[in-house]
Amino acid sequence: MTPALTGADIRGRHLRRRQARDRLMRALLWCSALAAVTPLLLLLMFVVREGLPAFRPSLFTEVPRPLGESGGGVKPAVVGSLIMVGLGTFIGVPIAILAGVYAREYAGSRLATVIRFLIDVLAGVPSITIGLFVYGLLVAPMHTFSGLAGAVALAILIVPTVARVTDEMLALVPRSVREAAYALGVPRWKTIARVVLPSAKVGIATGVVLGVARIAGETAPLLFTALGNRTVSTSLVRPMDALPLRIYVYATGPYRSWHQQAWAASLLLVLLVLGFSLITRLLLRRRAPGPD
Amino acid sequence: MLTIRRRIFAALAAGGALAALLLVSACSNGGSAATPTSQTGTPAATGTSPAATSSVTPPTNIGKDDKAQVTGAGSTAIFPFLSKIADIYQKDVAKGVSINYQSIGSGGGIAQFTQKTVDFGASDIYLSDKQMQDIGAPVLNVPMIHWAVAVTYNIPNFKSELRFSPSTIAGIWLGNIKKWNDPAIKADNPNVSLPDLPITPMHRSDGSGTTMNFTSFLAGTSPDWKSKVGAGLSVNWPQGPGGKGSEGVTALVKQTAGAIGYVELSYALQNNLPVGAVKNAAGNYVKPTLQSTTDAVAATVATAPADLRFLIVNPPASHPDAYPIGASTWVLLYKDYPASKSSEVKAMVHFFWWAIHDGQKYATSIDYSPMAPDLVKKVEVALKSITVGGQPVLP
Repeated sequence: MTPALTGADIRGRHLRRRQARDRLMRALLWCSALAAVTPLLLLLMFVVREGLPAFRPSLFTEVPRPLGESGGGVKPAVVGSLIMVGLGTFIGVPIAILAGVYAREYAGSRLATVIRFLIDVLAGVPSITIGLFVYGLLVAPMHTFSGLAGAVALAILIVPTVARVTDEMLALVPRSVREAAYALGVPRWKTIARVVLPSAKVGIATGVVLGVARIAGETAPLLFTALGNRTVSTSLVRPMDALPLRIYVYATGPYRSWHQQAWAASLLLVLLVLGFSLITRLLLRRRAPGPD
Repeated sequence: MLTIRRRIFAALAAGGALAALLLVSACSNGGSAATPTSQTGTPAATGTSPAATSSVTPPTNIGKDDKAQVTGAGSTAIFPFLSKIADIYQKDVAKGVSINYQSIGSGGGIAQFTQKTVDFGASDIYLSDKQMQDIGAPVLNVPMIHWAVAVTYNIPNFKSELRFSPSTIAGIWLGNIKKWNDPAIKADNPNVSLPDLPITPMHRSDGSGTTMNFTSFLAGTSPDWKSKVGAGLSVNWPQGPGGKGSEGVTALVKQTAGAIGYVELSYALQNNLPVGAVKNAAGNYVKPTLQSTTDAVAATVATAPADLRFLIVNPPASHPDAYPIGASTWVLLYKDYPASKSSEVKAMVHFFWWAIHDGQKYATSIDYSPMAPDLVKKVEVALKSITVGGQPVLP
């Protein structure tokens, strides 16, 4: 009998080829994933290595010292960043979520397209331009740089990120859910507020975290609005400091001690953003399950 | 669960409404604050002439009981000095005063001062006649500190100290001198063996007082430079790359073998870059130091006009040890401030009063040169002429 290829043989060879191709593709994907994560890991390593030597409790608790004296911290920047990012989020997020809800649930398809386009345009406006806009809106007429102006600039920046995510997350809520609510006689607004939004809350919250992370690291919109401050100031109508501003000034200065503090402040900023997103994720995970 | 959701939704809506309200109220506040234009309407013009001011010299700690937050912005060159003395002033003299100075660059400082968004500006070059006209209100250019523009270079494995005559410097930036072993550089440095390496001259890409002083020095010494390039905050550079700010030029010089640049002295010193000695009017090669800059100041302030707008480049040959590329930073102040700014302006003028006297002694520890005593006298007159709501601030 001449050795004939049986079906099993063919299937076996075919299978091996497919397995080999699978392994190759897996390896390629793994490499790509690694390539995507490597810069982040390197950046974290670098920031930790450079920032750790000056990373002491005094960084949070002390105001900057005069040149030539060692020590001192960036307390005004920490306080200012928390206030402005907090207020900016407080102003911007409600507007953004309501805008997202309107675009997805209420606007007719044509108006929704226009709104989405405008939100995308706003997302593409360079942050320095937003800073200049707020300068003209608040700083020049009030004749003072202020924490309020900084917060408003950050609020404008957070709007497109959150509005877009809200819009997309609402789109993911199945139509049948809405129809079920309508069938029970629930009015439209109540359906959105109590059925649609809660189903999308994890996604929207992720969007908010992304937005907060983005505005926390912005320097450009604060240059001409908050200006910076070397003393701890909580007044909203006075210049206010922020971590990115302090990093910018210290990193471009001539002094070694400033560079060290700039690195330490960078590490602090990275940790704050990471910590915030971790905490939010944990809180959401705990609340997410449960048959509402 | 239902009530929680209702609350969340209500909170969202409330937050949105509040945000809108905040914006509106902020805008309307701004509108009302903008209306009084007392800064432009100067009552009873008080001249800068000494006769108009009293001869009383107030104590330097006159502001010890002030309470205010003063905001200023501008020159990066003066930032280390101003922030240092502001901290000391707050600690040792006036606990209730905080001077918030932000280094946004001289150009930015002039713009914000013109827009009246800051109480004072600071610039590495005095305001031009046109700039003063544009502001529309009488302003004062008050010098605060001096420093030197250093010529710094990067030649790998080269330890000798270099000397430059003004014509050599002009030749390098004009592009006539292309290599480090050019005969012109050799003539300045007879006992040094120079490498056969191309020269890359760096300049400031942004408008800067450093460039103004550097190009004024070259225009004053080299007719070739004067006719081809001239002097200004930013000029038409014949060649070479530019960097933003002193830090940008410093970084370019550090990274480029064969580079040469001009930066504020402290940037070169803090970055361990060599600085060249420059030939002055007396024919001596002088390194930029505190002493040689102070000499240059002493040589030029005698002829400083009453409006205090003067350069300290190319001091006369009567001062043989003076470094020829000195620079100053001016604080920009309005002559009359609106009465609504009374507490800020008092605290600010009192602070500067302290700064031109006691504050000057902190200059040398961070590589700046204090003002000459003759100049301090003239600055006193200028500060005494400042009024708030028409009333003099200093006795």
